[in-house]
Amino acid sequence: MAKMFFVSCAIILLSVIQGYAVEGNTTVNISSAPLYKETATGMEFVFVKGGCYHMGDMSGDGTDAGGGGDSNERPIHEVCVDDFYMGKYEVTHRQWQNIMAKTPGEYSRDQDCPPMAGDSAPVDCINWDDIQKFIVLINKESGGSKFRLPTEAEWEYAARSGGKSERYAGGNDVDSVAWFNGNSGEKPHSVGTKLPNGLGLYDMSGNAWEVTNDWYEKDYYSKSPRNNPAGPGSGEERVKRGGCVTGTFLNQRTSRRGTQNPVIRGTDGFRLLMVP
Amino acid sequence: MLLRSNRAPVLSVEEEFMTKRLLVAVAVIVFSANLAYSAENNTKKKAASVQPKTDKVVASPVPPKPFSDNVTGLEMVNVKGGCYQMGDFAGMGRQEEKPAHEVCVDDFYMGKYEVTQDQWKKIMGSSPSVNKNCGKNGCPVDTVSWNDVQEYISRLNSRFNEENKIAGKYRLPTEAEWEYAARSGGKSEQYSGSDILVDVACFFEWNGDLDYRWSPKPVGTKRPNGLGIYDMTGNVWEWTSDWYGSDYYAVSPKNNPAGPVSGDRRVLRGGGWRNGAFDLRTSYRNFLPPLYRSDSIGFRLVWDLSKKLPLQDQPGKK
Repeated sequence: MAKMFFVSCAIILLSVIQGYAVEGNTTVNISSAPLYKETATGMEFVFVKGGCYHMGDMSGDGTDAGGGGDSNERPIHEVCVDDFYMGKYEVTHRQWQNIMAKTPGEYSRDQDCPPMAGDSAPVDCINWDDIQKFIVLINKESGGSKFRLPTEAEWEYAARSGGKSERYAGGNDVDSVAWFNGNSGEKPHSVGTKLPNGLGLYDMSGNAWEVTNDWYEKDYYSKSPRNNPAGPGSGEERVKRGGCVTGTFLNQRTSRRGTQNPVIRGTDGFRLLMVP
Repeated sequence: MLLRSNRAPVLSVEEEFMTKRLLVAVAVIVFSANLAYSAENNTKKKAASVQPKTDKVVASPVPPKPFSDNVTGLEMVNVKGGCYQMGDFAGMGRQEEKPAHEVCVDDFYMGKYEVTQDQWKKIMGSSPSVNKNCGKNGCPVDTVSWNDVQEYISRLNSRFNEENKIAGKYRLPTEAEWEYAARSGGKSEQYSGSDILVDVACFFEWNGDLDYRWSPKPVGTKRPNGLGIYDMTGNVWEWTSDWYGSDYYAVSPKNNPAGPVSGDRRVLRGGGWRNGAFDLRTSYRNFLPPLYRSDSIGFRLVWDLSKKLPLQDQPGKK
């Protein structure tokens, strides 16, 4: 009997120790990659080690089981990208205004724009040309030419936590990583308020669509170069990625390709890339 | 720590009276509700000694005969163990659902419903749920982390012990048990109970109306699956006991797999009221940090019938 008692105690002790081990493991593993902070706006950038991955509708998402893959996401093809730094968040209203205020009159929010969702929500009501002006200004500010829009290939590589198979940026649960029409109340939210992906990047699924540097071409994946593809040489619309607050869960998929008219000022936003 | 030490004498007392208790307690709790099962179980044991367990054919499960818990009112249905092709049986799933692989699980009892807000309150005092005012049958509890659920289970088992003088054996299902039960005993069911989603699930249906609001439904609103279990597809995501491993299916043991030994995310199954068709499939795997809470995450419990645990061993025998 005494022996049994001691065995029981040992088992209990062991299970307690195990319990603590579990407690110690509960933090989300986010890469401890170097961060860069841009001084004029406070924008943060996360280092993304380059690599090769299978770009496009990976892992059966595009089958007919309601996965929602579109034909413009196929074929899946190997793509390699160099190292880069990716904006940790979508560019916010506050950051936009901080930069644009340096050239008064150059940009003022259009009367037709919807009311702003808050200083730390992603900037909206801007078009392609506005973004190019922003990039010129922020590069001038930092005395170089390191900032630009990401290519489609860079964007998807980063969204998928470094080219992994991720349905949404950061996992398989749209609700935990993305503001979309199922949880957003159809309004933009402050950036960084959902779970980040494996690289520590926020809102790559959901919140605002993010325009990329590439022209859109439906069949581009069937002729894209392997290394650092930069999209077709010309086109009528730009590619946007990542879905938005009024979109269904299907639009938040990391491989989804949307298109943007470069003239219209709508609800789309963007995120910057920094060249190392 | 203190709590656990205090329990040590209880254990030793239990051992002293173990033989007696085996007969009395198990009969009262589990098998009073299900004598037919007990008889069948004994028959099966004889068969098992002749036949290696792994050769078992997927048997049609015995008709569910719920037992009702006197502490919370949790209803449990018996799930007869068996072998099945776990994972992407239809060839439509994601990488981490592959390969489909044979898995065998022992008998267990599965919650007929997701644990409700009332059942949470009875043990924890208050409910963290965001979805309130949800009909008379009660909505599933939500906004509970995996760690919160462990606390609930621990307290529920203690209360059960106090009331019935038998250790409570509630725990979360393993991923393998969950999928086996969801697929009505390992059948090829895309959704739990049907291949037609709307029949069996409360889920996210986008109708284009911006003012439309979605919410979970009281448990048991939709049709049950073949085992008489409700809402395994949709309503709220359900935590399982397993750590998540994206490649686990390639290395998983065949018998009673319990997930990788460590990890940083726990597996959730079944999809929630914010999710769409693809994410609601019975083989879809979701994984989140154990401290994560949301209004579309809840759980359901199993009652452990593991043969390794003395109190459940060979009930009704001798």
